[in-house]
Amino acid sequence: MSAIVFLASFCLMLVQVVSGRALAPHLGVSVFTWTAVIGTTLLGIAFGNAAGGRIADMAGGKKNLGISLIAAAGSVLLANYLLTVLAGPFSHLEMHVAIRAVLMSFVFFLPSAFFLSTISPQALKIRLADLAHSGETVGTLSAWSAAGSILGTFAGGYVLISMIGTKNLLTAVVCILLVLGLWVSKKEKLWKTRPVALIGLFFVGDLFVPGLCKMETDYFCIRVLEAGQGAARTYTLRLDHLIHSYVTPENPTELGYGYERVYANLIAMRQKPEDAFTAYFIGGGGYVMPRYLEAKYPNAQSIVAEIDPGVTEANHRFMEFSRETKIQSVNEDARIHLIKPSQDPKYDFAFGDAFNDFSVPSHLTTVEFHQRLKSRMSENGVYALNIIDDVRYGNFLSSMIRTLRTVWTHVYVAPLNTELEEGRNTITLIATDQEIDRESWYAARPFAVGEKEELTLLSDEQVAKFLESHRAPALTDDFAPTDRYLAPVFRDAY
Amino acid sequence: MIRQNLASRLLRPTSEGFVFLSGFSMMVIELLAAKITSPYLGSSLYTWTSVIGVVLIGVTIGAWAGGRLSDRIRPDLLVASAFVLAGISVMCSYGIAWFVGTNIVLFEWPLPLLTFIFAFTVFFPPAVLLAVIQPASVKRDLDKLEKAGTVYGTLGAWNAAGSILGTYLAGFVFQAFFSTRLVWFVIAALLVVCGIYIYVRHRFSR
Repeated sequence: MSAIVFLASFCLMLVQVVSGRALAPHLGVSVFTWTAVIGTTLLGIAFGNAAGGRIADMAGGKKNLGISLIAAAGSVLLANYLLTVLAGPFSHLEMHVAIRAVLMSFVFFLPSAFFLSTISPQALKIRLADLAHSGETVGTLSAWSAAGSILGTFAGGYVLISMIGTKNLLTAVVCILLVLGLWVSKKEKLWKTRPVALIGLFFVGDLFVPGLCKMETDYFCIRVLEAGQGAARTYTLRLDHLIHSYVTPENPTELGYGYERVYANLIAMRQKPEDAFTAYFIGGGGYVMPRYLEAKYPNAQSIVAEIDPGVTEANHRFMEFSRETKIQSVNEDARIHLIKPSQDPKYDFAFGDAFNDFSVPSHLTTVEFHQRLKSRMSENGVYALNIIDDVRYGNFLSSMIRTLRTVWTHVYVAPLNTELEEGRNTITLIATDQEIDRESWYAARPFAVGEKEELTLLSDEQVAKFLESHRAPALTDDFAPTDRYLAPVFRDAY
Repeated sequence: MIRQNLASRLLRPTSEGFVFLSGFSMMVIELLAAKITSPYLGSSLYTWTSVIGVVLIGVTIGAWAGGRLSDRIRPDLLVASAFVLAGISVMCSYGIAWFVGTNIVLFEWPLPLLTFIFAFTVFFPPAVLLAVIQPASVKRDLDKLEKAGTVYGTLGAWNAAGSILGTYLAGFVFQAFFSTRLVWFVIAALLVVCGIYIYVRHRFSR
């Protein structure tokens, strides 16, 4: 019985860890995703435990334990199918991202959590012999259950997902549960029944359903799409739900996103092509800006903090990013990289591009983070980052401007759409201690920009007026509710 | 009269209440743990895995120890002291997080190891202490063997219900509207107060 409880919990936690990752391609990874996943698991445990207890007292025994295990196997298998079929249509429903997250995790993973949780009360009942030692029996079985959960969590999170991928992992769980269920109730010969045969059939079918991702890492489901022929060929890099970058290897000055052209303008304003300087990139993605620098500023040094080694590897393997490049990649969270003592030269530029989709890592938005970053930059270094906000509902832009102002003297706002109130907008923020002269901003000639009109800098009066009507405070480590500020923006994101 | 009855019923310490509160605070702590960890070690699958794993290790050992202890100590007393100690350890862990967090990154160790050590030193003690509550509560309510499945299942469900409320409140409300430190210390105070209350009721109820 200990072994069964152990395995049931092991599988439950595997399913929980996997579901967070499995929903990421559709929902991004945010506090909403994790909360929904953990909440769903717990809800399943609540009802599963209660139901399991009733079953145990009314009709406890190995037969029903076996059936419960097989039902659990069936529900995990069902989740695997539903994910392939239903996840797409779900993304088109209009609703708050928190509700979408809860709904999706309910549909896909609540049945599995429920059935897996009916196991331990039944096992307890079979095991419990006398009342005097009930404490010890309960404690021992709980401990086995928790041990299974621990192993499931660590094995899933640290090893299995990046090794065999989410889909295969779910398939393996189905396999374990099915075998266990049949074995427990072997006297009943359950494998001769029709439902079990059906599950077996679907299980075989499941082996032929293709997975979604090109590469699956501990952080992302990475997809790479190729388009175009010859010199015009481009790669589109998708990390989870987000189209992160467009890369044109033959022509690195082809900058697909407006904010990248703003970055290019900023560099052109400060540096000549032969200058030597250092640029620090928070978040690598398709390495679009580092490749641009490498091609056009031969003496510049680029350091890229990309948390996921898999993303760097995908660039090398699928997106023609030479392994001989002098671009330096550090596969670490930027926050950790900046805390550690380092031999890096002081950065003249820092570019933020780590904000993924629905998840803005809030520890990269705070005053404390930016103070740390500034201490590693040269005296008149410039920090630029792009954010997405809809200032009609969102509060992220104003809180970010206030955050940067606590650390740097000047903060400039370069929105792609100059009419801020018009809706969803990509906005580049530029923070520096050295004033930017607007004339030289507009006079700068980067290698990439076609349409100059895109690159407006708002005037100080416009910024002051905006801040007056948007009062979100600066973000700190203690209070950085970025998910709340951005939730209304996520809703319109599809 | 009816009103008095209701009040005294609501205020009577019950096993359902114990496991509900322990589940609730456990999950608030687990969800806020990400916010406490990220300034020092960033935020990734590793931080989540470490936190969830360490809490589960705490639950394992706590449940095991709680089961043993409740066969020896009066369950009420055990629950009360576990709550008080858990509250105190939650308070201390905020300081421990700062100390460990600022020093640990200076070691050149792989990230999974760093996040595990951090999570272990900070979140393990509260998890162990809170996990003692459930087996002690089962022991407290269990008087007939035939009812074992139901008692175990019901209390398990109450524990999970508390956990669910804690998860959703922490994820959707607390972290959006309140500072992490505030929530953290309110939870700690709540645990201590409840522990003392249970002790007092237990002491003077006979």
